[in-house]
Amino acid sequence: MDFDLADEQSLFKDAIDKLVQKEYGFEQRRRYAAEPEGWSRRVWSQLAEQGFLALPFDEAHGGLGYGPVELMLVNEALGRGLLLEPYLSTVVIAGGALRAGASDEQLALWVPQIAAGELLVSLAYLEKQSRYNLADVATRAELRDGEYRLSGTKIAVLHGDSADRLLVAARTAGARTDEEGISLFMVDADSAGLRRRGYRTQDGLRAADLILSDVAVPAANLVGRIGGGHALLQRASDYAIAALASEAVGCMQAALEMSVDYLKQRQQFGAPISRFQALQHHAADMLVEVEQARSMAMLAALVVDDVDEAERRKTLSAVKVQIGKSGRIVGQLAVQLHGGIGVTEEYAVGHYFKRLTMIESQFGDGEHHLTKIAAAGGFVSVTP
Amino acid sequence: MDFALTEEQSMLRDSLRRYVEKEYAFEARRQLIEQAGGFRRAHWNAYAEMGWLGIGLPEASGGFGGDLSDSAILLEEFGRGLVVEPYAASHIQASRLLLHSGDARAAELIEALIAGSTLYAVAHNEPGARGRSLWVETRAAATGGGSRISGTKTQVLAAPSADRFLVSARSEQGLSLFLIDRDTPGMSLREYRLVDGSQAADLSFDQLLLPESALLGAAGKADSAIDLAISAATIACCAEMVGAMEQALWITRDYLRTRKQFGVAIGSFQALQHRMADMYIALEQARSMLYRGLAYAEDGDAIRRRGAVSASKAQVGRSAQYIAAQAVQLHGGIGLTNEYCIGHYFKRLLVLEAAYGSSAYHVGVVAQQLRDAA
Amino acid sequence: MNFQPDPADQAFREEVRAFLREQLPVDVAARNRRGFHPSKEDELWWTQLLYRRGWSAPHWPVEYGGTGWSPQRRFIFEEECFLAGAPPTCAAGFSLLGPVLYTYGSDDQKARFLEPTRRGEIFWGQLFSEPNAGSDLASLKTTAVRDGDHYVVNGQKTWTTEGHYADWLFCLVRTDSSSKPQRGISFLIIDAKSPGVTIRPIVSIDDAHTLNETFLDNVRVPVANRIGEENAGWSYAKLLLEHERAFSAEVPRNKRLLSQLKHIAALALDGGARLIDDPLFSSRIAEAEIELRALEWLTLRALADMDHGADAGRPVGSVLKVRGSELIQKIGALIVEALGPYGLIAYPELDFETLPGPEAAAGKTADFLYRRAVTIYGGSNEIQRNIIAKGFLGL
Repeated sequence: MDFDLADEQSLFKDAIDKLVQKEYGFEQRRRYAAEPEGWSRRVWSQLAEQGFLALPFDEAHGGLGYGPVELMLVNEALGRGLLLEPYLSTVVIAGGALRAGASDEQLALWVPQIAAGELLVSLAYLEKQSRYNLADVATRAELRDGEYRLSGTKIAVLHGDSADRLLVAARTAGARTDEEGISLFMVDADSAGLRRRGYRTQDGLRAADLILSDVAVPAANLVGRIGGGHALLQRASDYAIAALASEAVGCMQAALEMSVDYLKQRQQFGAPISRFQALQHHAADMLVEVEQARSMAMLAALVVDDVDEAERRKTLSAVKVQIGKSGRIVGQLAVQLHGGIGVTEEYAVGHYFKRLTMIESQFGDGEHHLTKIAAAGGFVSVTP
Repeated sequence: MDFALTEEQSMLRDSLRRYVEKEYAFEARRQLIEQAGGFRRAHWNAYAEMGWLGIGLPEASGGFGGDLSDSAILLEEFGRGLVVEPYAASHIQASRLLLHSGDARAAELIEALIAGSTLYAVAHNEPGARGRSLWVETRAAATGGGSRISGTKTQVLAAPSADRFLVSARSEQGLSLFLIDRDTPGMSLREYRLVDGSQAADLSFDQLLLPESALLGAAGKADSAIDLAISAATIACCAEMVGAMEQALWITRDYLRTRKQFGVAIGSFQALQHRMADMYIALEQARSMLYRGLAYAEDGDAIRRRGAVSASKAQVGRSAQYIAAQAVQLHGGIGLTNEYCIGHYFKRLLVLEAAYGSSAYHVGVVAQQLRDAA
Repeated sequence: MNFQPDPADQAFREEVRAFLREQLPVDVAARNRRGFHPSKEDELWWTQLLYRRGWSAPHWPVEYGGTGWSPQRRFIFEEECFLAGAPPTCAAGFSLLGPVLYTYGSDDQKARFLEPTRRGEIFWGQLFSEPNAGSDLASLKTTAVRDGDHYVVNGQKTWTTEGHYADWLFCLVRTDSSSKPQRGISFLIIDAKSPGVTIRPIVSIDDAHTLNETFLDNVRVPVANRIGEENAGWSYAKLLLEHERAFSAEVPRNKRLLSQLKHIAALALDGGARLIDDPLFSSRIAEAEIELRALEWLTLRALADMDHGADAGRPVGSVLKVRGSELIQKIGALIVEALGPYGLIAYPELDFETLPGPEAAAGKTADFLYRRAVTIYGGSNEIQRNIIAKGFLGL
């Protein structure tokens, strides 16, 4: 084990940190949010130019072939900057599902487009009844005249309003909550019969609900084995949890630093409020949480490609629980320490709090994952 | 609503406080636990003489009227002074079982109980119960006029000192209560001390033959008496906990004012001040839920009563855990010794938190009621 | 960064396990896993056994009999021993005195004490805290006055863990009261049998005797028993407090408690079912497991820093201490809760079998009670938060 950055990793981290620092000041972020798509195409191009969009994909398909540790470094930086761009949706989640299931031909076709920043893909898997159950898919796909016809509704598709393509989970067989019988289809966003309603989420990012009415999809756009989509959704979820963990660490670290600075600068009763021991201890507790969360983000990077599926899943559940809990404590304390301005839109700390709150529920909240860990028997062996 | 004590109640409280401060002063209490095994019959007799065993019981049976709120005044004082004799578990519970038993002898039995001449231990709790008020696996089988009972009762408080046991057992007809004299042959007691110094025993019965007269009330009809008795005892336990946690809070406050580190009283450290403020908030929450629980503790609507009792025990238990832990923490090293009082508050509250179901159990009861109502 | 574990470390773990399987008798292991305080006999016997394998002082430098293991391997060793139920070795001697002695002691002192300590022939007791100098250790009052080639020591020390086992004591004393409190403190070693040394038990909250207070009444200590310079003892003691910070989360203890919690929850009856099958209770166990994993990884990171001799750049010892100690208490409370009625019985250390309840119940609540100490000793958690806030965050 080695917790220090290798030279190449340092270069990498410096590059993404520099990009975020230069392009993602709080005022800049507000401007990006006001752009038509709610984020910045220019920043997206820069991420593409510097290779960050190609990061996790195999070199054979036009990617850079980096591993989970590098992805961790990038996501942490994105968290610090509270980036609005569709990195999580396109590169991590949809990219993850594609890496797990798409054919070499498909990857060779799509990865270069994603890497160039020309193709945005969003995974459309959630439905209004499904909550955190990836297998709960009511949307149907039927094979007719050599092409698939998809009908159903999807909700909370991350960056689904700007996506060029949607990777849609639809049922080709089985009952509504069967794991077997789900298939993934790459659907053009401008397909006839596809309606999208985009909206801003609480954290300032974008999402969309979809209605698919007999949308035609060429058979060649089936991703992975027919009926075998559940496994791909799970891999996408694995990657998402690992990425959210490091993004959350970035948010938490920034919120901590911001709070510490604020305590030192804000005067009350004729002295900086950092003099007050009770506030000092709140800040100390935040640091403790950040360190716990960071450890878990690292653990996520270790296990996200672990071939032992049970161990991987259980560990990622643990990561998600800790991240959610730490994020809640850090986000809430950061707002509390800032007092009144902590709850205003004009001040960054509230935005970290909002993003951390969203992260807590994405891809399963604490309760969901706790139950999964308990059902799997936990980690420590049982002895008298 | 009136949350203030009446003049009579204030007088009661004052005399209780005087008695407890004298009889359960640190050294006296230590001797009571180490030498008298955690129970002194002389104390119990004194309670009877002072009239404290008649509080909250009907005048018709020799009691002094009033209700559980009056008993709560006593129990708060007992909690404050870390009285180890189990007033709630023995007296409150036994008196309710007798009162609600429907047995023709009840009035007479209650009279002896109030006089202190019969000390009851209630043998109802079983290992799997964990707060479930009607969880009884002990079996009773009718046999030629009498009954045979078999089973195990756990943590029967005051058992080593009791004159009589009130034992619950289940037959085909349902739950029944039996009165068993301590010298009944064939009964076995495994005595022990709890971590707070109070005395208890496990009782086991193997085909123990009981005469017909041992049955209290009608066979198979004891559910409601048991449930009412446990509700009352649970709230009584809450009152005791509130008294104990309040006292722990003030002891801690005094310690913070006098203990010096780095040249100043440690009470001047803001982090510790805030901790005490949080303890105080927890105490007020607990006290409020105690009062709410008292309002419902003897409610005839079983669902409403159970919901309210569980909500009270859950909050009081949570507050107690926090206050007890922080009281020890703020004392530092001295909080860890048996030679100083605060650790004893921690242990007493640990035992009371578990009694009649932990706060986690009671949160579960409230959650179940929510589900049932949904 | 590369988080893949080192296969050689895994092989080392197997080696330690095999050793424990062969050498640790079942009854000793059972006794030590129970939660009562270890006996002097067990501790010294085990030290002697480890000594024969060359493992009794793993963290000491090789020239003084250490093993030369990396911090990671020391952690593995400690974890495996603890999980298996091996008795501890004398913490005061190995973790506190040893490092001071080999760093600041004279050749003669080293020769006299290091080897016998490592052999399990000397049990040490630590005399730092005083009734009015706990977290504020620098305000200690015990005095040592020169009288020829002796110091005459007077004062009262407290919280001497296992002091009644001690053959020798090491003590912070004031040798100069005219300067700043931190100056003027010296570090002495004292024969526990010296006239004027009285060690009195303090019965702790678990009804047990492991703590003591020590009265020093005109105790004559040869000047030759002073370690290092006169009036420089504070900096030596300070070094100790810094030492071993990567170990301060007590991951092995947390892990053992968790494994026991799961065992107990599987035995415990909850109505007609097993407690562990209650989804709410098992979720609470899972929560503790997650915290433990995070703590374990934080420890691995700290060990790696230690391995590099690098300053972690963050107050890792304090973070580990705060979270590790809180987790011990949290798991302990879950154990008491899981035991239900048997969590309240005051089991005696001997003959606990005669009382009701599962064998696993004995010693657990006593341990839970005693572990109220973990958030207090070694710099209370409030002090740790001060260190994080002031020392690191700059508040």
